[in-house]
Amino acid sequence: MPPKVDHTKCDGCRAEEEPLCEQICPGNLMTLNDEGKAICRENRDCWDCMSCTKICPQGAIETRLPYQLGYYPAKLIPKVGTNKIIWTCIDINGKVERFVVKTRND
Amino acid sequence: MSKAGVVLCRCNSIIDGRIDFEQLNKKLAADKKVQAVIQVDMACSPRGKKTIRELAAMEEVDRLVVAACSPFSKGAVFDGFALEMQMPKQLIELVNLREHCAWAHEIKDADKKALTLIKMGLKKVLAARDLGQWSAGCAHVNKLKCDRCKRCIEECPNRAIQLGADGYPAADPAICQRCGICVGGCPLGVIALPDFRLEEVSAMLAPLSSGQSPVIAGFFCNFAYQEADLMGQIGRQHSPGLHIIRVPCTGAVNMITVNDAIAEGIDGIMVVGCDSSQCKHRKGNELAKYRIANCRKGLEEQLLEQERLVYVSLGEGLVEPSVINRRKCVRCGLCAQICPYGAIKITDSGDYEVNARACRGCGACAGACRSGAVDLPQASGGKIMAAIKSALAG
Amino acid sequence: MATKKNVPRSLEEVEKIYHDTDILIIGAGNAGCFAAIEAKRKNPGVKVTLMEKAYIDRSGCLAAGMDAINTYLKKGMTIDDFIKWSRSQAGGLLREDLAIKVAENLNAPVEEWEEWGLPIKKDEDTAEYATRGKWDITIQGESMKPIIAEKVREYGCEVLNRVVATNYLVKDGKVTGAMGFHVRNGKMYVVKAKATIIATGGAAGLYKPYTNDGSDSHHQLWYCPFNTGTGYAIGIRAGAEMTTFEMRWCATRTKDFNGPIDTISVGYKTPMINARGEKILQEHYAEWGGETAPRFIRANAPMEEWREGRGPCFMDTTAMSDENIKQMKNDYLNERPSYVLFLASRGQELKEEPIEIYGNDPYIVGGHTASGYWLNADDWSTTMPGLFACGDVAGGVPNKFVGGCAAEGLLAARGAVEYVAKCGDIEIDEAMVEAELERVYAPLMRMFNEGDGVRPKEMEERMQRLMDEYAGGVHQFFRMSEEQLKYALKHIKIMQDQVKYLIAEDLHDLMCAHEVIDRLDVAEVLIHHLMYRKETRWPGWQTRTDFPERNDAFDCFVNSKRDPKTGEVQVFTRDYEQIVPGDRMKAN
Repeated sequence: MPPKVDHTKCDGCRAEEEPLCEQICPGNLMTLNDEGKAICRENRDCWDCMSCTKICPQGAIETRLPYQLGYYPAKLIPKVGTNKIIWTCIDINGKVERFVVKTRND
Repeated sequence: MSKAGVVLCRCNSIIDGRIDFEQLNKKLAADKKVQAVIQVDMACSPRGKKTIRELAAMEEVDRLVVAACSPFSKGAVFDGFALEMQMPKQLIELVNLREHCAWAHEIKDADKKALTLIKMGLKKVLAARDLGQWSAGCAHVNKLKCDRCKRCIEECPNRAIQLGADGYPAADPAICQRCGICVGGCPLGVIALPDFRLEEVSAMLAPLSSGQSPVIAGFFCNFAYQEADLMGQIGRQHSPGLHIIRVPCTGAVNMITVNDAIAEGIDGIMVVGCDSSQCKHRKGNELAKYRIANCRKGLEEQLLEQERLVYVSLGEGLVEPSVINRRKCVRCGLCAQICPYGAIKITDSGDYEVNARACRGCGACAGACRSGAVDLPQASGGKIMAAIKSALAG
Repeated sequence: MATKKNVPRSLEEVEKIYHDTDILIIGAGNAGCFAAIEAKRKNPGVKVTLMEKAYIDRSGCLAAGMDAINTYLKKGMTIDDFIKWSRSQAGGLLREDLAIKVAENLNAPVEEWEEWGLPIKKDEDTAEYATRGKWDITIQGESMKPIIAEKVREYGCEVLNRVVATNYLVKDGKVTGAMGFHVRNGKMYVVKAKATIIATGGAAGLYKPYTNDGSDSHHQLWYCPFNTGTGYAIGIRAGAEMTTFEMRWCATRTKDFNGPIDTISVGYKTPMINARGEKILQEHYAEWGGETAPRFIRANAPMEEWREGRGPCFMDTTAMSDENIKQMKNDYLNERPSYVLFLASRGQELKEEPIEIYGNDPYIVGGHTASGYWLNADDWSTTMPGLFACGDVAGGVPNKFVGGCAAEGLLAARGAVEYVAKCGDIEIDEAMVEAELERVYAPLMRMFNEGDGVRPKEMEERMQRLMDEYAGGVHQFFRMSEEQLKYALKHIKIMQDQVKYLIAEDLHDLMCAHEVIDRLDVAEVLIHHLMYRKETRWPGWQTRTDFPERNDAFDCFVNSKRDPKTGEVQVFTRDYEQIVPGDRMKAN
């Protein structure tokens, strides 16, 4: 649930008035901190729709599950193409699975 | 349904021996999306053009793939042809079978490569669609998808994009240089140039992925593409696995395209352009490198090798920098002010110095200097006067 | 932080933005977007404004996408077939007149979506949509929301993003628009509209989810946690008639993650088993039809098993092929991608470890059950003139799902467009605007002036545990009795009074405060409905321990209306009207 932002990659969308993650979040949860880097204002309220993770141009956001639900350190990484997304899933044992999901026709 | 016509040019028989045109013809004719395939001896000749005209006039054909030479060789001919046929020039795709295939590979590899290149061209031209960018004359933002993050406004080196009254960014056709840096940086990929659209580029990747292994997609900027043409002309070969796609500037390569390439199973992606400060569009390559560095980290996190995505600089674009004559220089600083590339700076000692790697040899400093202290070696005051004298004498 | 920056410190500081439009659509989700597009198609000259509390491209239930359309009439299926099936799954209760119209419009929006770019799986031989279940087709809907958002813009609709709706504008009993506030710039929005379409979805978060133990998983729900029942609440407060709230949606979901299960059960035909390996439905629910038992039986079955000591329960994936497992994960990536992460973070190999299932916290959602606004089948209007409803917020038609909600968007738009053509000028009640200004910004003002009170999170958690324990939540295995419900009602009413002590630190907090206020109003009506129906028609969805059998005296609709002035909730019944003949409890 908690979207974790890598502040070495986040450029605050060049400090635009509304960075992409803040603009897209259906729960109004992403915002910029005082240093101009993205944070989730309330981890427990995230629904892990992963819209922020997909839209970040720097690939700075990682969606994680709370420890209540899943162990550490599994990863699910989306990379968005023009009409498809590649998902790379790495489980806690290091097993890797890749999926290519079509998202639009033509 | 759109169908394409394919023109195979034998280049006045120069490349006859290197590519089996009969085989190529047969294979293409079997493609469902190809209405007809014709062979011509010289596509750019009057007879060649007449034959192509007939093909284009066929009812079912509304777009063409012309497999011939480099767009830098005869591209203008086909732009003119498009005008004549009243076809949008975006519907004629020139595939470089000469400099980048017949001349650059062994005969046994050239054939297969030729088919792949033409299929790429086919996919591109069949995906060509006008969302307003054809007639825009400059970069065009798809306002239905744009989320107004304004990154394009920030990154445009010419400050050609401004926020319109409707809150959406729009490029000024008078200022826009059509470098495509905005196209490359847009996180949602919603900007297109009149002749460069991300979906069309990505459409080329599927046929590319079945090329000879290891399959590499090479995004060459205009300058680098011409260098590749030159290699072909002097007979230097390159690996048939490298498929060259022309981009206006390396800054026009969007990481979304890289994601599409990885999804297609393409082994490697090269982005080829100018040396660090020689980019004609000022900071296209800088931005490209920044985005690529970030993308490489992403590749590593996905447990894919970083090395699959590389930026390659071609250093030959260096020009002889301008020279400041210290005895004549009065240190007014006008050259530093006027240099569009920020290549002239003041040093601690108070002298003005030209950064050789940043200088583009435009000569604005030489023209502005009131003391005649700045000169361009390849276009020095002396040389110019000599040329004028010679022109007046003759 | 925008939401901390633009916080008004006094009511005078609040800037009011007045807006005029023909059709106001509250909620730019699936139903709202289709309503907007259809309104413009019917009359390009009509002005359409959408008020959306998030951002249209990813707002609502479809934020991450969807992997199936669960109601599509395939070749050879008739509307009657659909009505009979839906009716049998709903304990024999549904508004047949509404359902018939929805069924007539079911296929078109799906086909349009495909034209606009939504990939739909096709059968290789017939080129028809590939069948997943009887009524379901598989889609690759990761981008289906951005696709319709683009269409909304293409048709020239105006979208007010980040504006939270707080109440209707009502004049002389007619709805004349709505009021709200902008969660980023703090301004108050007063939107005057000739017709208003409510499309805010259902209500989640009324009950405590079982993973909510003060950790980071508060919103680990199946339904969109950002759908907080605002549409129901503002209707309730204005006096609109609601129906069948007691038909709650309590479903079987993946345990802990609360994720969708249809993908596995319908898509890959995996049986439901208990800890002993017994096929639950076949073993213990044979008289209900075994594997074809109605939805509420399937939903409640694992909970019964658990209670009887035969849990945990699973969807048996151990017999699935590798290819199908990969395809199933692919399907999940289209709808709830983090479920794939969930399996990965447990190192779960589905051929060795089947997927555990459990019930979820109850939701009120008119797309799955019949809960919501009581509608007129002629024009999809509610009982308040000028107000139309569509989607999960609209009642009477269970088993709509995504396709049916889209169809309702079309129907409500048609009703609204015709209404706009006939209604004259409309006015707004300024006194209402002033009163709303005070009500909406009160938590902020209290924070500045008093500095002390109740935080929205505290009230939300109290309400959720109260409802869970006394109004049949998941920890009670969905069971409730008259005494428990009375207790719940008493405390909900205390909290409704306590709302005046709510404090908010910034605009996001203010939104949370209103979400709690709205949920309390919905919870109050819900409890009234649960108390009124003294029978158990849908075990699991509404299990009365004091009236455990079905009682045909309640073979009717239970409806309610709240008096806008006194706040008193009236509950009454409406007769059932059968149009399609047949036994209402049977699908054939």
